[in-house]
Amino acid sequence: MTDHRDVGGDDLDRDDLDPDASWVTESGDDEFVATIPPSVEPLVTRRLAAGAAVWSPNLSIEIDEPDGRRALDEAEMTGLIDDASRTCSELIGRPMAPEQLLVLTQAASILATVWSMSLAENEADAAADTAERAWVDAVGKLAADCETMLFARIRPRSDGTFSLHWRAADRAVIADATAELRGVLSSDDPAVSRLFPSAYGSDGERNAGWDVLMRGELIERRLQALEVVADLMGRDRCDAEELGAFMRAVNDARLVLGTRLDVDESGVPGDLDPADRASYAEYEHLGFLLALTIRALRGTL
Amino acid sequence: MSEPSLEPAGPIGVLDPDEDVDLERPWIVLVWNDPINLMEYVTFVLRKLFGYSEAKAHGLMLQVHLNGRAVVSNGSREDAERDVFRLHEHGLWATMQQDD
Repeated sequence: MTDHRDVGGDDLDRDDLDPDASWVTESGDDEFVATIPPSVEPLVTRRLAAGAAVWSPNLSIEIDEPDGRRALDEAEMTGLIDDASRTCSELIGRPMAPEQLLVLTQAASILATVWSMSLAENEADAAADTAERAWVDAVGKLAADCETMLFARIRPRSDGTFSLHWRAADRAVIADATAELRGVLSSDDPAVSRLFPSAYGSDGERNAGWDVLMRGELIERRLQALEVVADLMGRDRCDAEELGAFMRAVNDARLVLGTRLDVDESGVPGDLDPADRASYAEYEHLGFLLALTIRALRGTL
Repeated sequence: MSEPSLEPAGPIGVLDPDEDVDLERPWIVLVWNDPINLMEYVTFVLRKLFGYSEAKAHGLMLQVHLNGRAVVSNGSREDAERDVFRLHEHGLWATMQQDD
């Protein structure tokens, strides 16, 4: 992407914050780039480099935990801000795969939240200067533009339906993963057993009865969902029920692939052969599409 | 919830009337942690299937993630079977047992 402005320096040009002029663009098929306009770029670069160094330690945010809400402590807040700042520095200005755009969106959203909170706190003593406000506006716009681009595949419409904008790589990954799932669904492939857990824990007799009665029905529902997915790849509109079926089928395909890759919670192993690396990329892409689908469907709950 | 058509009618139960079970004790449905399902997916499914608030579903998801499991519903054996079926249909690792 190019920016035709030739102005530099720290003076923020308010036109650069125009919500209709996105900082995040599609730079190729399934490739994105976030570009900060020259008038804002020095400020953004400086603040991302500073990270939490200028964070006021008496401010914190709350998170939900099983036994209630709690505030993050100072070290956790500092780590959160530093990590998000580093992520943004690394990803801005370079071509990103869809999953990297998701990472940038999350990091920019964290920064937008914490720094706007900090600004609101400091406004009371009138010390919040225009540069601070410009920084908050800039990181807020970055987060919003990332999110708009991220969700562009599935756009909720005012009539309750969704418009669909699949990219070539989405179709390829979905076609491959769902064909694989359809092929093994009725087999005794060990990876498929993940889709049919034992209902009664260690009670073998009851589990056998459950399996006899339920497995056929579960296979039938899964085949129906796969039919919906195949149909949606050729359409540009769907309803919430169809998108729900799409969500389940993508999750099923991801469960089988993840089981086969022996995924654990420590992330992607470093020493993968090329075939496994391609499978991991497909697994990540399915997770990305699943996250988009969940977000689109949240409005229907 | 605003999308009843999304919900399957549920399977025919496997309850055997001749089986020796204590009908007084309720059944509980557990969801177990697994390394693959996305946290936001688990939260979404709990909201969709049980009508839980975002806060409650999120809390249950964190229990599953941090403690390895959480009780997500309880009721008669038929209720539990229906819930387990729907959770399995959504790819969650769910089991049921009689409450102690």
